[in-house]
Amino acid sequence: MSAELWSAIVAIALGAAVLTGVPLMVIVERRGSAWMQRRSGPNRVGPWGLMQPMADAVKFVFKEENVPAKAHKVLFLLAPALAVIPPLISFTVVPLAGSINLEGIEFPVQVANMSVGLLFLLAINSMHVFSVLTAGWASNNKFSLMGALRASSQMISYEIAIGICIVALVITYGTLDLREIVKLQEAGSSLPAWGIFMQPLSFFILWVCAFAETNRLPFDLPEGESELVAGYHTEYSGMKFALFFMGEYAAMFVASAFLTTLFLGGYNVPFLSEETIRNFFLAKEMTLTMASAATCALQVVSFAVKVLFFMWFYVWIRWTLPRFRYDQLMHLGWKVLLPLGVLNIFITMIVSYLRSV
Amino acid sequence: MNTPDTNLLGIFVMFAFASVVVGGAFFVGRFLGPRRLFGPKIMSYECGITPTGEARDRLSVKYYLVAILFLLFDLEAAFLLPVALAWPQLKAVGIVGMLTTLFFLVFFVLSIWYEYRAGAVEWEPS
Repeated sequence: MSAELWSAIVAIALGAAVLTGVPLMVIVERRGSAWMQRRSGPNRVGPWGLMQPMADAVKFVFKEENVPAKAHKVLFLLAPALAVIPPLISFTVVPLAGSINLEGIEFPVQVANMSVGLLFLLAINSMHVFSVLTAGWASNNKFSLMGALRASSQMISYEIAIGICIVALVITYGTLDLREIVKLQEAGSSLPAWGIFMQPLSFFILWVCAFAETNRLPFDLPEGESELVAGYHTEYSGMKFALFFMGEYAAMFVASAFLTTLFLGGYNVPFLSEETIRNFFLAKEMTLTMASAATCALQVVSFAVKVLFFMWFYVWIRWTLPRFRYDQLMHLGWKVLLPLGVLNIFITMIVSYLRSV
Repeated sequence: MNTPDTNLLGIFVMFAFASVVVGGAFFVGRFLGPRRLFGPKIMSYECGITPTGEARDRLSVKYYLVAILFLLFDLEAAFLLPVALAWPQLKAVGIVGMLTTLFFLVFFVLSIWYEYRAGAVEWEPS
């Protein structure tokens, strides 16, 4: 099997997995919210309401698509496309598991193994702003435009804190290659050598930023229902609205995968290195291909569990904290997270210097 | 170990996959849903009343300021990244290498401080 074919297969599988994860996450969020608010939630369609996202999808498909007369027709179509494509592309550089040995060649379970993966992920992911701004401008609606402006100024404000945190992380890891970063977190005897123990402050900042970047509560100012109807997608209906929805959840998945890769050891199973697991399976008289595949399956599960933990935390936070006021949001971004990020760089540099002398 | 290391084809495959999903959604939505658009239905939504004035009105200058500040600070973060990557070499150079980095960071802190003093990120409380 050629490397190109392998890469293409992983890409399709990953894309399908993310798009399957979206409806799954929707039902988890709706039932989870209901559970936290002591109500039933959707429980009619299928067992425990599990088929509810399917019913929603059918409804989306058969709804009329409204394009306001005043809207810019081309940009109005482009915005939902821009919401879905960048999160899926930025997922390609995230390592999903170790490597599978096929015909004597080790294929990494990752779509594109880039040496600048960290930068690529950030760059493509920040294209999300274009979708929001395009949607707001093209709709030619007061609520949409206000929502879009709020959203984009919020997203770019928190992007600076992300950039500063990445600097400290790069000093610690010494590389931009995400696979390398995950491998650096593999070792560890008593505590796993995860980034969260080496860079707790930047974990905290990036976690807060993940909420702000995906416009989730408590930072969902752009869609504050009581103020702006629905924010930048007020004028969208039918499948176009569904695409925005998919884009938002895909972006949440990417943010969770990003945090997992940098701070929770990525695909690593705690305390067990890839070699240990593979040797365990080899000792069970498996072929090398089978053993490496089993190892990868275990690691994918480990990765998925960590990502789902972060996804569940989005829902949890949503019903725990009230929405911020706009000046509080800006205050947090510019006057708390940014100075903390710079302080973190200083601390990282001093610690790194002290450890070398 | 023979590891194929950089393979960017997958990114294009993912792009194609995402485009097909988006295109399919547009196609399905366009041809399966009803399409009877007229009069008030395609008016801009303003909670039911007839829209007044233009949507693209004058906006708070604060948004413009945030955009400018973002450009400056993101550029500084972009400049810091190579410094972070070269940190082992800078440490090897010794005190001069680290002072150079410190010099840059002090300027960064000064610019943040100036920005606060100028009130650039003050959003007046409602």
